[in-house]
Amino acid sequence: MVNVFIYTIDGVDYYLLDELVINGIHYLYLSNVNDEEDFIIRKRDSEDKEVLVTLDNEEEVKKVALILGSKIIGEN
Amino acid sequence: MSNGYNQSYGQINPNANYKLTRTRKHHTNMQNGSNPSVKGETYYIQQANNIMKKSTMTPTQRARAKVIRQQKQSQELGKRLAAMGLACLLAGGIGASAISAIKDKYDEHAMIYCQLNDFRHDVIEPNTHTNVDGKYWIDYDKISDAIFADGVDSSVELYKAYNSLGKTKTNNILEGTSSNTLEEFVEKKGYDSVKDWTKYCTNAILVEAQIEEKQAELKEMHDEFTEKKSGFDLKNLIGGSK
Repeated sequence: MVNVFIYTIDGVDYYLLDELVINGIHYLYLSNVNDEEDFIIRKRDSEDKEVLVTLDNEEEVKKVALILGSKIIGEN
Repeated sequence: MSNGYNQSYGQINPNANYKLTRTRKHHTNMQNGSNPSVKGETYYIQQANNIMKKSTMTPTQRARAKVIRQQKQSQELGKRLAAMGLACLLAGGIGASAISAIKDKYDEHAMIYCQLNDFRHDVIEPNTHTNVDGKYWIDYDKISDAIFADGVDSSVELYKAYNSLGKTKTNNILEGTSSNTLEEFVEKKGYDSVKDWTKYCTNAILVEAQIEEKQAELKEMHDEFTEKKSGFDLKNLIGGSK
């Protein structure tokens, strides 16, 4: 058994699978507790870390998505 | 360059970088709809599209998240991480053919990564060691104490630190212990090389994960048996009282 953080966003529970800091921004990789096929990425608001916001555009998603995928593959 | 992602429509293109490397066998099986690896790729492509859509909603969504901590089977998280990682690679522009090549080993990678991530959160705790600039500092003594605690496989724990922090910081952790450097630690533990030690640690993590999975299955079977047995006993008790 391991510890996992559950984030409730707009009434939906998500497991925090990973959190990466990229260029000073905290990105959260989340998976819906009740739907294992539902994944989202959010970032912490720079002024209030407890507030999560959607990413600015598709380019930002591509960049941070690639970093997570590459990290998992590359580390082993 | 075609990278599997069609920007104009915001959709992952499953054919990008793919037709060139797809084998005849794959093609035939895909037509029959019976090849699980092809089916798998379609699934990950769909997930990649979902990540793209849900992570960039307009107007921008802001939500104050409520956070709780829970105990969970690492296997389930590992599998989710594997699925999300693959979908993220596709969303990030890696072609479907490359995904096909790495998919078979991906669950193992994810399982190990899941353990490393737990170590980062539970032992290194970057979120609780942050300075005024938002950068985290490392409590080497605390990490060293956790690695060399009683009943802990220090080889595996040090491997987690090494993967999370790199060699220089691993040497800082070892400073003041009986081994001052990673090489000394590896030699004293009887491994042939750092590579040999790494191989041992990754295998140990995977074996531990498999044991944990089997234990969970056994517990589930035991609970099911107990539930059935209590129902059976109750039925006998009611029958016997007549």
